[in-house]
Amino acid sequence: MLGAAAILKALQHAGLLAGDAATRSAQAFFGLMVAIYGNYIPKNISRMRGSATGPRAQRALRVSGWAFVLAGLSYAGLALFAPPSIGFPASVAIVGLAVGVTIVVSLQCMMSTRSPEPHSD
Amino acid sequence: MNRVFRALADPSRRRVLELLRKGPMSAGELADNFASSKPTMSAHFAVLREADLVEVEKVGKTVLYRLKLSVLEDALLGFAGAFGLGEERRRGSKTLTAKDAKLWAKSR
Repeated sequence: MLGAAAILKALQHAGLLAGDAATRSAQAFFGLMVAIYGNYIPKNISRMRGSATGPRAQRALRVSGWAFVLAGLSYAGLALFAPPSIGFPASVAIVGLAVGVTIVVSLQCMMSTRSPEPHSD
Repeated sequence: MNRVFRALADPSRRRVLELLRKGPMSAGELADNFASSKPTMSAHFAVLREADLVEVEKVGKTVLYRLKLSVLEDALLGFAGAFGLGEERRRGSKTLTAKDAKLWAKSR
């Protein structure tokens, strides 16, 4: 990410990128990185063993993954197409919401692992 | 990615993944939901393992399967299910494709 930001800055200095294109591109790149990271969150089920890998943990990972993917794609889209006055606060709010959702489902999962999982027969 | 598409192209394998959404299940519990024979279901499980869509854990003598889908794979699963991919093949034949049978034989 730092490399990409440096390259964009260099292109801007060289006059190959006009206006706020470099900033928008860097923000869009960040949004895509968040989405890519979110895509692989549910795959981490293999790192969780034992009683924690029940339905609740699975649901928590899935919800977190989807939250970050949608937030990342929204962030990238807003960075590229929205006016800066709206785009920046909206995109930060969306990513903040994704983090909040992840914390909530993680806490729900942690609290529920202290109580037995419902057993379906 | 080819392995993922091949795994998701079969309705029975998609059904296995849908069942695993509820939580981890043993191989026997999964197979009880299908009319296919246990060897056929074992072959389906092998295809899903090969595509890294399920996580396998041995608990004593039981083999436990867990869902291991990325968000993209989850979306592809929903897409394949919504459009009924492979349904015409399932209606026409109850056997595995030659490729799936070869993979099952290799995994034994």
